[in-house]
Amino acid sequence: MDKEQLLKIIELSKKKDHKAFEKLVEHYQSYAFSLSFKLVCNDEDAKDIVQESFIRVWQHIHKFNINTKFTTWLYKIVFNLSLDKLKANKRRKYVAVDTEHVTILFDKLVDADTETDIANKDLAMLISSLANELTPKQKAVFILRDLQGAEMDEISEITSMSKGTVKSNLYYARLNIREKLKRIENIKTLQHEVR
Amino acid sequence: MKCDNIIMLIHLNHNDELSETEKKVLKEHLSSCDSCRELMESFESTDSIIQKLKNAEPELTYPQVLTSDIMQSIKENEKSSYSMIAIFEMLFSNKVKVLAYSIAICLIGLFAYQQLSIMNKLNQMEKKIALKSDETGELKTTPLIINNKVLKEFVSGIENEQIVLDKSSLDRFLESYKDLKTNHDELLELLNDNIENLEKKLSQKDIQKLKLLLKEDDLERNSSTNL
Repeated sequence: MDKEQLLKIIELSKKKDHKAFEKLVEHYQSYAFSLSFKLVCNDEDAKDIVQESFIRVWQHIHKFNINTKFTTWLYKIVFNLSLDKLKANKRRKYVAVDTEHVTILFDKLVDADTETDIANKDLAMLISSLANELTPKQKAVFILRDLQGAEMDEISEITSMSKGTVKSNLYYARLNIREKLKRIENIKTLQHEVR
Repeated sequence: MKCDNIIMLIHLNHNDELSETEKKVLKEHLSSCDSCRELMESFESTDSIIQKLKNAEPELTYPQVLTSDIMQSIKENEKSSYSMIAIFEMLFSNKVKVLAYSIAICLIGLFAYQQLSIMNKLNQMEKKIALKSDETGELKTTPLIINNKVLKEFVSGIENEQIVLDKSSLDRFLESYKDLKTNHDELLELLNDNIENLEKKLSQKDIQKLKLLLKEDDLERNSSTNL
């Protein structure tokens, strides 16, 4: 969908055109699902978040400024709802991390081609095992930057953090994750040597 | 610059993460520091895993179902909000507004009429009592107030059953008002003048007794005058 088409659909949605909005949902729901899934690491919760996000988009679309990037606006809503969900389910462990299974999954990931085909359950486990020691801010910044490819300014807008805070959170997140991945690599090397 | 300060720059060496100055500082440091260069190179393998993880997009199963659920929720929300708006509009419709204003005006008018008639009656009553208390026709407020006070206490005495409605009770009651120069006749006169108002306060039985008492008193007075 090009920018002109998107603006037309948004204008129609502002006039409460259901069909136009349905097109917007069809086009962007997978983007929204991707972010919410990576944040909450749960299929059903991610879908609930996407649904709630689009309801809010519909309710507040009249406030949307056409000079803003639509995905940034949508991501901000998805991000905030995902954080709410994580807070609400603080006590619940989303994914039980099985270290042995995670190592096998990382093996698969290393051997995979550029287009990685991996089951949602396994993807949730991989992300959880990597990000489980991060603070919520570090996790959010890492997912937005390294797993979703958002730009620094966009992350600052989505998370309502200054660019400096985004940078420092990203630094600590990468430091932690790179060290973790190195440990996994070392384990694999050791296992290989033992065999 | 020391290696400790460079590590942060190494971790943030992606696209737009570093400023031009930071990029220059990092480049200069890496050209002269083998350990930092090795550290940066060691991230290549970990970064490729992260890159593959980035490419592994979660699969959204049954996207049409999700779209339909979203649109359904939106329509349901709209229906409920429309019905709320309808109720709100009905509450504030012109017909209801006119009716509410009319009722309010009627109530205010009724209240004002009641207040005015009460004030009018009180004025008339006070004038009557004042004129009776002064044979010369001049208004004297002091004995009026005293008489009204005595009347009030007398009536509340009857209401609370502290005073029995007979002549001796009246005498006993008036004993306490000797200093105010209130006598039996004055009180009976006052009671006679206010009989209509007292009917609202006292029971029918008490009123009957009171009327009887006043009649007896009148007869006594008339007979004494005749004699």
